[in-house]
Order: sequence, then C-alpha cells, then structure tokens
Amino acid sequence: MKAPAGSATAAAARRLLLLHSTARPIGRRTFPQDRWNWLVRAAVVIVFGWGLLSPSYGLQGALVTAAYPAAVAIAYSLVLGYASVFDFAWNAVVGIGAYAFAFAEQHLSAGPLVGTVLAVVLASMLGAVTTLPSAWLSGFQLALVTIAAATVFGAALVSFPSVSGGSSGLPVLRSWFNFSPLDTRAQLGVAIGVVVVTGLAVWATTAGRTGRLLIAAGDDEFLARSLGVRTTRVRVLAAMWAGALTGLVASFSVQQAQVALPDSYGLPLLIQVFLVLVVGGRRSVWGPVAGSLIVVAIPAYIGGINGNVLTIVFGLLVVFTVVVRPAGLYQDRMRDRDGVLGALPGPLRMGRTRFRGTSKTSDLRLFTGVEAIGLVKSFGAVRALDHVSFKVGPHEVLGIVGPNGSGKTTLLNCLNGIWRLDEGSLSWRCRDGSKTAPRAAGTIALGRHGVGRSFQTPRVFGGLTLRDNLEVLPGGIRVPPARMDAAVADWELGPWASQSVEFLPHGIRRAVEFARLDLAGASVLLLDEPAAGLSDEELARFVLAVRRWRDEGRCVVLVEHNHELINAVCDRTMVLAAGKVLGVGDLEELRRDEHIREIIGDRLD
Amino acid sequence: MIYLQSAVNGLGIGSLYALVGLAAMFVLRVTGIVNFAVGAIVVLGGLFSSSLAGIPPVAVLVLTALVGVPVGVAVHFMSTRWLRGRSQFAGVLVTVAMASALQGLAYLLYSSDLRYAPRIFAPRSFQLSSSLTVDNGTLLLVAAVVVGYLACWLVLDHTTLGSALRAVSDDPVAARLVGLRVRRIEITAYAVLGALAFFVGNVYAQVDGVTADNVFPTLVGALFGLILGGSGNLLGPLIGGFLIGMAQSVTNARLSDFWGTVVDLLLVVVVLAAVPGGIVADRRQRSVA
Repeated sequence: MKAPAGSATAAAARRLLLLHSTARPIGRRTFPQDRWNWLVRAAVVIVFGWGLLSPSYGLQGALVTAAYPAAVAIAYSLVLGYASVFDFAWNAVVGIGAYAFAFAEQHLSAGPLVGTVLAVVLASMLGAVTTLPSAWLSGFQLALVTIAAATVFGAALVSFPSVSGGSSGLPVLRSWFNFSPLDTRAQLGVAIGVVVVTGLAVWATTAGRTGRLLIAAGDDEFLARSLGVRTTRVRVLAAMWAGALTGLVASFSVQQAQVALPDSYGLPLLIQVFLVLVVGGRRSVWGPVAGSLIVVAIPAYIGGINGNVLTIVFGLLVVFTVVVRPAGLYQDRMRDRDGVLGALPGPLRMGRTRFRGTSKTSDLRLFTGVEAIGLVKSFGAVRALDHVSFKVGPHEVLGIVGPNGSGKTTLLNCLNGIWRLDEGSLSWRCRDGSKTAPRAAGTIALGRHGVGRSFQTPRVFGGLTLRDNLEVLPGGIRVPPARMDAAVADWELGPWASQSVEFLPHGIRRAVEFARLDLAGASVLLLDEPAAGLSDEELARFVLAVRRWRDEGRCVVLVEHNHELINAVCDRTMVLAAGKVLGVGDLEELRRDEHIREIIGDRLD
Repeated sequence: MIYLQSAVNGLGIGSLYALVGLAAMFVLRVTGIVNFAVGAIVVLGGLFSSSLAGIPPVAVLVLTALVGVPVGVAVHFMSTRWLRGRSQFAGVLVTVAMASALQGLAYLLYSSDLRYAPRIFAPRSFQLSSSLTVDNGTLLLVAAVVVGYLACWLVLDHTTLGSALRAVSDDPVAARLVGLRVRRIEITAYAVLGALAFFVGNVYAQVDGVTADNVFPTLVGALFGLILGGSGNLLGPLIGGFLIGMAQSVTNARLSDFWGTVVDLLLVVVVLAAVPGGIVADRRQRSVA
C-alpha cells in the first residue's frame, strides 16, 4: 500500500477539484451555480427596475407587498439562516416594531423619528429575549417555546386594548413620507430602499469574522464551544442586530399599511417569511428577494386567490423546496469570509483585507498541564470512570489505551468540560507555573485557556471554507496571513483551502483538525483516536507533528488503539479498563504484566 | 375550592394535550422526528367526524379512526417520508409547514366555526362534593387517555411491530441491514398515528367541539406537555399534558386567557432550565443500567 507520496495526493486533489468545480445538481440536470446566481440577480434587478419604470399600479403594488417580507427575511436570515437558531417568534419581532412605531405616534404624540427609534430598540430587545432560551434549549424545544412566546405576544395585543387598540389596531397617520395612495412608484422606491439598506447591512455583517462566527455556531455548536466561541452570546447578539434591522423594516412597512393590526403579525406572517427564506436560500441576501418575488409578488399580482388555498400551496411548497433544493434558489458562492472588501463581486474585489489583529499565543494564563485526582463519572448504573488519577505536563505525550468501552472518550470529555464530574477534581497548571482548580470549568473557558480537542470522527464547519475553518479560534486570536499560509502548506491542504469542507475525505478533515490545533496555539491537546483511518503518509506526518508539539512545550493526551503509534510518540502510557487505571508507564513494560496483556492484547496493531 | 373545580375542568383540555402529546411521542419514537403536524391531524379528524351527521355516534368513531389511516399515510408521503437522513432543521421546517398547510385545508373545508361530533353519551354532570362537579365528557376524555396509553404501551413495548418500530427509529440503516422493511414499517407507524389522531379528534369534538383555529394552540399545549414530562417514558406526555392543561385552566379562571398562555410558557421554560430531560424519569435509560 505504499504509493509515491506526491503523486497520490495530487491525483486525489485533482479528482476532488474536478468534483467541486462541476455544478451542484438542480433537480436532475446540472447547471453551473455561478451562472444560475447571475441569472437570479439579473431577474431581481430587472423586475424591480421594470416596476419602477412601468406605469402599472398593479405591478408596483405587488412589488411593494413583496419587498417588505423580503427585507424581513434578509434580516431574519442572520438568525435562522446563518446562526441556525430556531427562533420562531420573528413574527412577534416584526409586530413589536410595527406597534412601537404606531404607539409612539398615538400615545406619545411623537414624530416618525421617535417611532422608528422605538421600533428598532424594542424589536432588537425582543429578538434577544426570544433567542436567550437557546442557552439551554435547542432544536424543536426552542422552536416550540418561541412559537408559544409569539402566541403570548399576539394574545397581549388583543388583551390590552388600551395600549394596542385591541382587534381594531393602531392607525398610523404621520409618516416619513406623505405619498398619495395612488403614487405607487414612490412607495416602491421607499420599499426598494429599505430592502437595499437591510441587504447591505446583512451582507456587511456576514462578509467577515462575524459571519464566520455565526456560521460556526450554527453549523456545529459543540465544536464551536470547544474552540472557545461563546455561542450563546454570538446568537443573542446576532438576534439583537437582526431584530434592530427588522424593527427598522417594520417601521416602514407599517407606514405603508397605515395601521398596525394584531392579525398581521400572527403565524401566517412567520410561515410567509419561512417560505421566502427557504425558497430563496437561507444564507444569502439575493435569495430572499428572489424568493419573495415568487411567493409574495406573483400571488399579489394575480390577486383574488383564496387565502386558504394559498396557505396549502405555500405549506407544500416549503416541503417541496426543503426536499428538492434544500439550499434554496440562490446559493452564495463558497468564499473565504475575510471581510467586506474580499466579498465584493469580481472586478471590484480588493483581495484579502489587511491583517490588523495580534496573535495572543504567549498568554500566561494558558494551561500547560493537568492533574486529575480521583475522577468518577457514572451514566446511570454504569461507572464509566472509577477514581481515575493521573498527571501530565508540558513537553509530555501521555498515551491512553484500553478496550472499547473502558472510559477513554469519557475521560477526554471530562477533561474537556463536556461532562460534569461526579467526584474528583481537576487541577490545571498554568504557563506561569501557578495552579488553578476551577470548580466547574466549561468547555468554552477551557478552550480559551488553550485546551484543544480533536474528535473521534473529525468535526468541521460544513458551511465554511477550509481556510475559514482554520480561522475560528479561541479568544479572538487572529492569525497573520503568512502563518496561515504556512499551516495550510504544512498540512498539505493547499488544493482545498478555498472550498467547502463538507465533502472532503476523512484524512483531509483530520488534517484540518490538526492544523486548527496548531494555529490556535492549543497548549493541552486532547486527541481522540487521531490515527484511525489515516494513510501511511498521513500517519507519518502526524507522528512528526506530535513530536514537534512536544518540543514546543505542549502537553498531548493521546487516546489510541494503535500501539505502534503509542510506542512511537508517547512518553508514558496509561492503561484503562472498565473505568479503572490498571497501570501507567512504558507500554512495553506494562505489557509484561499478564493481566494487562490479557486486556490490551500483546500484538502490535 | 374554586381552584379545585378549575383543576378538574382542566382535566378535559389536559386530556387532549396528553393524547396529542402521546401521538407526537409515538412518531418521535418511531421516526426520530418531532412532528408539528400532529395537532393539525387531530383537529382535522375532529372536524371530519363533526361532518358525519345522522350516523350512530359509535359508527362515527369507528369510521373516523378508519379514515385517519389513509390521512396519516398521506401526511407521511407528503412530508416525513423525505426527511430520513436530513437535519433537524429540515424536520422542524417541513412539519411546521405541513401543519400550516393542513390548517389551511381545515379552514377551506370547514371554515372556522366551532363544530361538535355526535355524542356517544348524553351530557351529564356528577356531583363529587358540595362544590365539585365533573361531567361525563371529561371522564370520557380521561378514559380515552387511558385507552391511548394502553394502546401505545401494548404496541410499542409488547409486540414484534413495536420492537421493529424501535429498531427503525434507533438506526434505519442497521434495521434495513437485518432485513426489516423500513419503508413499510414507517408507513405502518403513520397509519397507526392517523387512526389514533382521528380517534382523539372525534372524542374531543364530542366533548368540547373543535375549530381550525385550535391547530396551533393544541399543538403547543401538547408539545409543551411532552417536553415538560419528557419523551423517554410513555407517562411523560400524559403527566405533562395534564399539568399544562390544569395550570392553564386554573390561571384562566383566576386571571384571563392571556395569563394562561404566559403561565404555560414560563412553566416550560423554567422547568426545562432545571430538569432538561423533563420531570418523568427516562425509562429507557434506566433499563440500560
């Protein structure tokens, strides 16, 4: 199985490049995504341009009706699309913005400026509040709780008529603009302006570091946390910003509607925005606009369609789109998220933004070793760890061997702050020589103190390019481009650097994990069966890397079945069986003990 | 005393939540998907049975349950069938959209009027004590909960179909490799779900009447019950559903409908922060230990 190193990887790279340069399938046929995107963009511009120029009230009215849901969907895409938070109370966020504007005029007799500011502030707050439960709820639970929260909002609108005007709503009389109802062209102009402002804001937000963090938290929260990303904070801030934009949009849409009615902000609005996002594409700006043209403007232009029939058709359309084209009509080209300048289209692109950060790898608070005393962890009646004690420090590689189910991964998860210990304590040694024993250090905090992790199955952020995957690092560490390029070259990741990692083979994903630990400057590395499934060359490169890490003063904990690898890199080896430590020392010496040999076998494989 | 009476009244709506939650847990166990369309299927069943005037009530009950079978299968073919191997995101989105489509269908066919199905028992009240009464409608609902629970217990835990269903939910690929017809089993599960949901819809339409407006409130109440009680134990959705229903009923009686929704929401958010897995112990984990 020895192949000449260079040619094998190069051939694999070519095969993969070929695979990725061809288009993603649309239905059964294939059509290049880039060309398709240009088509969508052109269609959007032409339709809205034609709407502005044409004298048709009907068309202009339909486009105005479509523009506001599009703008809401663009803002909401930060939450539901980028950060993948199931905040299903967004109809209430729109509603509170609209009501705030009307309220300011009716009850505070304030002008439109105060109304808009109030709308932005309140919608932003509601966005944050409804996202907050994502700290302890996820998936369908969060969806359910937020749907219920939106129901509470709807019930409040009807229950407190002195504030909200009850079921007859709050009228809006004074606006930013005073168009005659027949001046649909001017109304369309304002609506397009709102869409453009929202679109630019979201585009600028997602073009750089923020977009990277959002996608990281959205794609694999667990991995993001182990990299020290404060995912809850990221989500809540994203929802605040999206809520502020939504409030702005709502303050304009309510001026268009001239009245804030409770029924306008119920579940149908949420389903409409879903539809716009799902049909258009949930991680893009152009997508929702195109989606809104199809699902809002067309029925509005035709007119006279039974609302219930539309609801049925729209519901089935969501199902159909999710099944056939999960990414939606418009899918942004995968690109490095390195800032607004780099995200500009073709001829305007200025290259990667300049590096302004500092890399903080010499932080004295980094952990460089750990002492575990009497760790106990049970799952039900299964005692996965039974008074495990050991010590490992800088310049050291500790191997952990043991049969499947002996508690190796549980041990790593406890060290990583994923499981809470039942008994025992962990005392971390800092770079400056001091010791600290936090009572319950979470995964995020450990990540920020230099505890890095690689997983049994490599984990990556599917929605980011390979290079961006490497730039999601603890504590806002920013890596100078030169160092990044060096790491990419070291791990032979060059051919894939600007592509999605989603479809990369196992060995490459593993290399991404290692490169990430390298760049993060992780000082305690917890590696869970890193060698499984690696080719001989990949394995050789890994052995060199572990030796280099040790020489750099890092501390490596290596869980592995491959005894040859353990012998090659480990200073000491710990044998675990049924959650107990059977022995620590040189693997070959340990193997002389008959009991241990019985458990871990005596062959080198 | 008024609290006690409200709590007893809450048994009715609590039973509905318990039953819908049970149906939701049934599909959750089998397909691994929380199906938001369950509430809509129940309401559709109730509306359908209310349109069968002039037929003996027991025949309506049987007929409704039978019609539920193709409806359940149709829902599966139009939505969940496509979800295998997809993300949770797709699951939530597709079933919420399906719920909305079914609600649209309900409005289209039956408008938003409150409709009743023919009653098997004529309404009657029983005096429990000087100030406490319970009507036989509530008792019928509670009886339906017992029947539903026993049916689920029997099917899921004590038949070969039940073990097949659990195998499919745990690992569809492995189930297929050992020779289970995964597709057929999933279709069977949805057929059972349809029958169960239409049965529940009929009973509820007999007692309190149903309207298409009920789709999402029913669903939210039932799923609240499910996550409050926990989905690891058949008793979870029952206890959770009754708790939610009674809390709602007591608050509604003392304050207003608005505060009922607030109390339910707070109950769930707070309880889940304290006990993430729900208040009823997960029986499956214990049996592993």
